[in-house]
Amino acid sequence: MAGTGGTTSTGATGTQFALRVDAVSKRFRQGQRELLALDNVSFDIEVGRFLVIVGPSGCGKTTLLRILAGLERQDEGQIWIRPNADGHPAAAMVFQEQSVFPWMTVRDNVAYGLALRGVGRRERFREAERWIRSVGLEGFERAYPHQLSGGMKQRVSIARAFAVDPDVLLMDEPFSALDEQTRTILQQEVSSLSEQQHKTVIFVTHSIDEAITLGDEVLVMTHRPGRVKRLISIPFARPRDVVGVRANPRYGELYEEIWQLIAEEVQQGPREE
Amino acid sequence: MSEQGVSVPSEALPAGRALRRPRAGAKTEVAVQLLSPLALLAVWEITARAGYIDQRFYPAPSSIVQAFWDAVTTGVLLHHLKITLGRLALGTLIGGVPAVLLGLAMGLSRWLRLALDPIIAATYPLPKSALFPLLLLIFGLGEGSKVAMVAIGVFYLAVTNSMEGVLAINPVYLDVAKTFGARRLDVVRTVALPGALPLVLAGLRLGVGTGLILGVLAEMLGARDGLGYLLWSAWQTFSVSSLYAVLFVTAVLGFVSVKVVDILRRWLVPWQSGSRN
Repeated sequence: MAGTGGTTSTGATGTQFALRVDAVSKRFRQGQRELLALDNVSFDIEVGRFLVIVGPSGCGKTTLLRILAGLERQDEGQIWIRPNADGHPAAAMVFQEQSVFPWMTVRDNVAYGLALRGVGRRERFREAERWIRSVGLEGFERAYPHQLSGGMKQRVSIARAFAVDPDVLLMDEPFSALDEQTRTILQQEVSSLSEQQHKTVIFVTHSIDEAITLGDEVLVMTHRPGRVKRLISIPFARPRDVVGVRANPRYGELYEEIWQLIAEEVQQGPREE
Repeated sequence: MSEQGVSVPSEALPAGRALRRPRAGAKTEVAVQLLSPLALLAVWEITARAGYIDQRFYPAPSSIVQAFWDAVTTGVLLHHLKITLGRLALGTLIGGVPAVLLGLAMGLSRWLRLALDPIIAATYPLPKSALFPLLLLIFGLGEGSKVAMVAIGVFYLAVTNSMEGVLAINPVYLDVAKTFGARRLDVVRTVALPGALPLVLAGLRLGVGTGLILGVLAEMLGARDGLGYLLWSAWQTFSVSSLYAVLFVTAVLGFVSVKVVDILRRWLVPWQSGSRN
């Protein structure tokens, strides 16, 4: 299982788990038919690790993330997230689509989670401004989202998630709508920030390249119903240069390996029950 | 069709393209916009004086200005304008405030929507003007029936738009609120209300316009004052120039009342990029 191997363990944390998924299944009703979206999915992840989930579209990876975020309930199985000291939600999510509130300024957006916790105005703005600086949006504190580019909005979304200091960050294809240059820059920032802040990250993508450049572990899922097909360790140390990593000879091998796994699934198509 | 895109001479371009010329200067454009109505007025004045058009129906602009000026200096126009304005304001308040509250509540609560939407949908197609006799019966000849007409005009557009405003909110915003631990009241305060605001104000904008139409109509049919009454009595006394003058004032009132909502919108919805004008 993820992280239990300990070969690239962060050391100090030992084998403390941030999150465990145990035999989770999820069905959707589609008219008369029942559709099995997730079938007996199990994995766990150590504190501070970056897990990337890849798989063919429709494999239930977004459903899995939504269950972890508390937006859906699994039909079977258990989710365990390491409780944090202050009783706040341990996970924060960055969504795929544009999810920054258009009616709030950048600062109010980033401070949103803190405002819901009842953190005072001055304190939450100070915290928000710190995160706005970290994602390189200094000077845009009072701007409204319609004044920002797609990449800038996604930076706001990332800052909003980091600002509540979650133990686990859930990211659902956060860069898929961005152009390649912006995507690469944001990949680097998320990689560095999550490393600096010792965050556990679960990152869903359909891009093999993104999976290898960002992940400590890559979990490949099967076509529907989504099962764990293979868990692959990425041997690159972090902090990591997301562009430099592509020049590593191991990168090509990993790409090939993951591609083969996904291609098998795509060719096979969905299994009907 | 020529394949050499870059070197094609303009004659070879399709007609639509060829028509596109460099834009004239901004000053020229403004001049054209100002001059064309002025030219129309000039033609009207000349043809009326020369007797080419019937002065009884189309009095010369100069005589309309004269009638307007007389109505202003005697205070008649201002008196009736104030009364119509008062009815419009009161009716907008009485119709608009409950409509917005109810519409938002319907957007938030499925049960309320199920209960009330059929009633609203069933009564909506009824021409509101057809209700006036009933309102006269209920509220009498006094202020009540006129204000009620305005209120009904505002109500329907405000209630449906406010409901749609909540329903049109992208569900991802609700997901965001939930993942950050928002409770139901937090969701209403931070997502539903601000998210619905653009459509709420669009509904009010349309409602005020409809309210004015119905208010003036009610004044024509059953009032002793107001711009509608003034229009009607100008027709009855065959003072056609005054008729035109009051029409002009009514148009200005319509324009200004919608502008007031626009200003309100710009103030309440500063995040919208497409603030008109």
